[in-house]
Amino acid sequence: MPMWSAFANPHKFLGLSRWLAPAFYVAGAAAIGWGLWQGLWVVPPDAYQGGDIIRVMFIHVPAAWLAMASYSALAIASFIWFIWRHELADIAAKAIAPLGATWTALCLATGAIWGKPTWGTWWQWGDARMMSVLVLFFLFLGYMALRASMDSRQKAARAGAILAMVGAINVPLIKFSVDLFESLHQGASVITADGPKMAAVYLVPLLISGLGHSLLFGALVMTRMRTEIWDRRAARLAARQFEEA
Amino acid sequence: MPEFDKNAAYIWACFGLGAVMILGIWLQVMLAAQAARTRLARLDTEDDPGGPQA
Repeated sequence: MPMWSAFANPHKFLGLSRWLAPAFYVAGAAAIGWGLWQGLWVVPPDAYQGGDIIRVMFIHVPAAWLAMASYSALAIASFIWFIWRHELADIAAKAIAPLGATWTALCLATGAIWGKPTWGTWWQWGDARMMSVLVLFFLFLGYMALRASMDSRQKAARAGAILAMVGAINVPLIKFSVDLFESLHQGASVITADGPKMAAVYLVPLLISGLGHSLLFGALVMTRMRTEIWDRRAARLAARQFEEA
Repeated sequence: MPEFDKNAAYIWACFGLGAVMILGIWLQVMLAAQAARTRLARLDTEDDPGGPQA
């Protein structure tokens, strides 16, 4: 049995997340605040990237990272549920989906706003990066709609897990879309074989912002998982009370 | 407030949208958690006068 089975206990999770979630909220808010301060007040405009519009990077890029990371987490949680049937993995997958959709929507919206002054267009249907992120957004929506359409929790978990795992193929497509296909986007500039190509004055606030968004996302997932555990307990209690009445 | 070049409106639109979306989802998550906790506590009290489990 895998090592993590010891932690796949809703009661243990409630105890752990009771203090971990608030810590993540505080650390995430601090990191995002620092990144915002750097992005809006401190970093210089970049002539190559069109002046002050480079500042949009500090909201758009962390949102893009979170969009891909959250779908990866959704697929991993679904895989764990599918193989080992850990209830907590299904709870995690259900908790991640609407949050992932939110960050993906933020990525798409800020990308469109950034695109207008930079490329002269809000949207380009032939752009592989834009289209693959749009597909990611629809995968999140499809996952939620599919789960909601099922009449039992087990069916919802199974159908959702299959969709999440199949859809995971889109994540590497997003990452490598700028290298493999036609795109208005520039190539990778942070995670490359030769190391980051970006100047440290932009890179450090960007990484801190990314960390802040990740911590906030983690805290929100934990809170949604706690909510789901309470909802399932309440449903069981209500059913039992109904049978006894 | 910082002063930006001709693209200031685009920059503020992005950060404003980010603030609204992130604060909005945070508020929704918190309210849902509070509602679930209250419901479970009420059911727990009805089931067992000892109090809520969580």
